[in-house]
Amino acid sequence: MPVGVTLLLVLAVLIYFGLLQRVVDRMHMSDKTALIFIGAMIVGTFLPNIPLGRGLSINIGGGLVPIALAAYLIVTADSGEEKVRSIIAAAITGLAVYAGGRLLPAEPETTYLDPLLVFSLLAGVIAYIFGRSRRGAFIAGVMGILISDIIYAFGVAGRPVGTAIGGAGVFDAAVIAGVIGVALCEFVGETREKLQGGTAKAEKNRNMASSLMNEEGEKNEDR
Amino acid sequence: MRTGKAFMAFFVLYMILGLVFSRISFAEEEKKDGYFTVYEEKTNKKIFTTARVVNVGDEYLDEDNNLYEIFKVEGDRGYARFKEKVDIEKALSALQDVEDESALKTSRLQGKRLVAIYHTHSDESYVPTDGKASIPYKGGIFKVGEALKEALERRGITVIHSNQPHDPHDAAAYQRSRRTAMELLKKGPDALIDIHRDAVPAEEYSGHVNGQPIAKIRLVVGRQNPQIQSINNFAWQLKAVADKKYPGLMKGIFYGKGSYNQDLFPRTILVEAGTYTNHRDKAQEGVEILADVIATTLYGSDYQKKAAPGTGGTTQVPGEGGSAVKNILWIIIFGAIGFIAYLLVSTGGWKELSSKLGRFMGSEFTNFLGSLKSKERGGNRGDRAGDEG
Repeated sequence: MPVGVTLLLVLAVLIYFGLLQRVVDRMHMSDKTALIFIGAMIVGTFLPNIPLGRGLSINIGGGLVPIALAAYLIVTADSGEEKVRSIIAAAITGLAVYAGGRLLPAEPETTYLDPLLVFSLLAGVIAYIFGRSRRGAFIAGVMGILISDIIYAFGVAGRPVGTAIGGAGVFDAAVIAGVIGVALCEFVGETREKLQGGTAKAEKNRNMASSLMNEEGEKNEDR
Repeated sequence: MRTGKAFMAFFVLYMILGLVFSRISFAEEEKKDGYFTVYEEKTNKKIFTTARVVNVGDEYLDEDNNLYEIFKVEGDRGYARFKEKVDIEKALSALQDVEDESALKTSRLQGKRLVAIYHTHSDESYVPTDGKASIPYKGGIFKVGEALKEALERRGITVIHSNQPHDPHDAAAYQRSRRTAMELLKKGPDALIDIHRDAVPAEEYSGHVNGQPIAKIRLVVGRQNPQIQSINNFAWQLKAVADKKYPGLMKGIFYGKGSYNQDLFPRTILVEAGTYTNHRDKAQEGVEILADVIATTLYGSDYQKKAAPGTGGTTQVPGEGGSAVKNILWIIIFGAIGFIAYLLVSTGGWKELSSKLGRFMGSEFTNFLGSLKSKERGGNRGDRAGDEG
């Protein structure tokens, strides 16, 4: 492969993995654990897929590791509510991605964005609305694509459709959806907080403080 | 509260689906309702027809290398403006001179000659021969892929032809075929080819090469792809070889909105082998000629002589290097703009931003570079940061 293309690939990969590292970093994990997960995803991409039957197989880097990570995040979630929220968001994302795949026009040129990105954005938005949590967004992104694959595999769309879950490895929709989901949470969350002038908690504290000094504090209560 | 959230979620979903997609239809129903016809702005002369959805900004390089840009789409009619007549060979050799002296020369890559073929739309079929336009999971398109495979193998090239179906023919088909593409790329092919057929009247693709009737070939290049320049050069190279050796084979190149998984590898291309109203054997004969074009493009015009074991080499796509450098620059520029915008939004101002950056450099890279800022800074961040900014 020519040097230029190799360089480009290396750079793109560095940027992508940099982002991935940031994402995993947000997951209450130590740097070391995060690196181990990313390393496993990269190496796993190039390992042979594991057959699961029904025409399904799973890629280690794009399927098994991200799913394990998502499962780990569900198990270690702070509260029962967060667990439930994440699972609901994942289920809804799965249905939405499946519905999107079925209802949207088949030719990618019809859409403003490549379907791959659309599914990822869907996952991010749903996860954000339901969980308002970065971890929830990652879970919903990864599991959402997985769930939609399983729906296809069980023949809901006609005959069962086999696929390699996470077959494109670190460049698969599953991982991209997880990353975009978290990035969206970061961006929307930060913007929203900025627009309302701080987090809801901070707002409350400020209100409490200001209501001690004057009566106007109550006005902000419902924001 | 919870119902409100669920309602909100569905509302947002609905809005996104509505905004992101210009129209929602049952995807599996292939465009039977028609196809797009694109006319030249001034003369109203028909330039081409395609079942692919045509958008403003799409481009089309016709059989005679006239480049058009579509500027208006009304219903199933598109209007295009003539941009320029492209001298493909000149353009390719210019790329060679300026950017990469070794382009088009055989590289020193020693290895097996390998080409991979797959079909994203595995249901696509040819009505006159297959009886139907769409045969899910085992369309006639597989036989066209097989014909290309055999023709390449006769030329001493190893071929992997994936028989993986990606049905249903819906919006997620490319997401599924992306996995097949990646699986094929793991084998290290010199080129990756996704074979489709169009869905327009037969006349559009009926043609002759050396007096023999065939179904013509159209190449499709995705515009939503950072590697578009490399893909375009590969497409140009294929067309230049075809025009020289087999005039009449190549209909043109359509530059459509989409990525078609072409972001995965610089030598990948989407081929439309005729249309559903052609006889399939004509499409097979078309791709058999295409096999020689592919072999010549990848391994040089004397590829058969060089087919002796151990001497295999791959021709580079001219400008691969150059476009990569440009792409790197663009990625850096966009990355930087995006990053600064993000930081500005998330911090609220230059002052805050610069202080946060300072803290970031001081803490985040500690593991690698040692603390860049002395520990004493660690104290109260916000107020102090203001002074630094």
